[in-house]
Amino acid sequence: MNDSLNGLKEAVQLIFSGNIEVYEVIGTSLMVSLTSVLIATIISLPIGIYLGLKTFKGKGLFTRVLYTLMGIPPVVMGLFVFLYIARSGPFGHLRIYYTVTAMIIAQTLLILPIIMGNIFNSAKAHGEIIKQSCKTLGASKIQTLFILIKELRGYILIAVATGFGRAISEVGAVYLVGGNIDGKTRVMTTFITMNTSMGDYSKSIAMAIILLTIAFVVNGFIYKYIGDSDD
Amino acid sequence: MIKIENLKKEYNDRTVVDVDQLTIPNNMIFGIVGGNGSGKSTLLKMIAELIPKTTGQVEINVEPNELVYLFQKPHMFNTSVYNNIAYPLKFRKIDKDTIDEKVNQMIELFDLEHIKDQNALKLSGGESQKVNLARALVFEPKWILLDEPTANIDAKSTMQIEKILKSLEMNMILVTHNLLQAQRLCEEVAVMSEGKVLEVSTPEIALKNKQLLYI
Repeated sequence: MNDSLNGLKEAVQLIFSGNIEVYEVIGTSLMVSLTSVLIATIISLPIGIYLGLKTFKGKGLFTRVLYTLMGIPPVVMGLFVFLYIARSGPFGHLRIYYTVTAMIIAQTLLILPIIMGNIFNSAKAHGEIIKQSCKTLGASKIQTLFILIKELRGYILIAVATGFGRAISEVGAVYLVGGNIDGKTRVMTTFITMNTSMGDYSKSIAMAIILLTIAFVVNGFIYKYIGDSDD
Repeated sequence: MIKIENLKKEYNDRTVVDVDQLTIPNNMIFGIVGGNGSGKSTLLKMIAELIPKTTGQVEINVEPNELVYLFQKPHMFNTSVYNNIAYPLKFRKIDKDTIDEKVNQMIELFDLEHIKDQNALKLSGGESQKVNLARALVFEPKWILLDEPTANIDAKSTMQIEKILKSLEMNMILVTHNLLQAQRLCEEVAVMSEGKVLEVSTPEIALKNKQLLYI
């Protein structure tokens, strides 16, 4: 209980202390997670909608694979990316191991199936009638895609929020490919892991509270928008 | 005129539509009547090219975007009634002033003034179907294909919609299971059962035909 109270007190102090290290950790976390979400969303939107609406042989198998990948453990994705970018791996010459770039790649691959799976599902369930309505009203293919994105925006935002939640809170993938380099690749989750292992629970709890607050605020904005857009 | 020849639709080796020949004349409401599962909606969707045909031909002498299909349960876009009606004109890149003029004409014709700024998702079944019809007519299509347009709405809205349809004097195909509605609106009807057209006649003759007792 004492640890919790101290953690809360320290969280407030940490936020307002002007401690550069803390702001760097928060900044790196947000930069990595938001960039990953942005990339994964840009890739997932057209592919998820297209595949959700398309009837093709093996769609059932594709769905099952996608669902499996949605639940892939971050550490497994981290290991997979590590094997490719490690010095001896096929992309070792790029020398991105232990960099923010590697962390973004790992997180993008981790959340890509989550965002794509959710968009795929919503397009499969609700897209056909929208597509047919657009077609009969004379929309071109590109106009239909824009309408589909607009009409499915609530589901898309939920997909993005889920992806962001996964990215900001995971530790396994970023730790494996980015390490925990102070001022470079340290993020909130690796900060918490490190301080907990060092017995500095107050700092861990403080950062956990900041992490939860950020996740709450970002999700709050997204869900507020979903609510407003339905009015 | 729409000419249909040897049109077939199969799902997993099950034939749901098998029409040898059907000619649908211009300038009238042509009815397609039949019971549930008779293939009438599938036939209409194939005419509108919303679903692919397995074999056969549908000959229509209009551009694909001059034909509009009205769904039984219309999809309203998540925006105002005004914007819903404006969509087909926006798709055709019509200028803003013309859009405003044409949309307002439709709003007046369908008596939608009081709900024009309302989100279309919050409309009743009857209001949705009126917006659906207004949205279809705003771009002046050559053919209107209606799939059970009054199936989910109350008697008052049904009467209003039937009155509007009768006044339009356009090329229309009306799919309905309601034979009395077909009699009120259509000059000719094709009677369908198990995917086949059994006969084409006036609604009155079709109604007298005992085959209709089984559809």
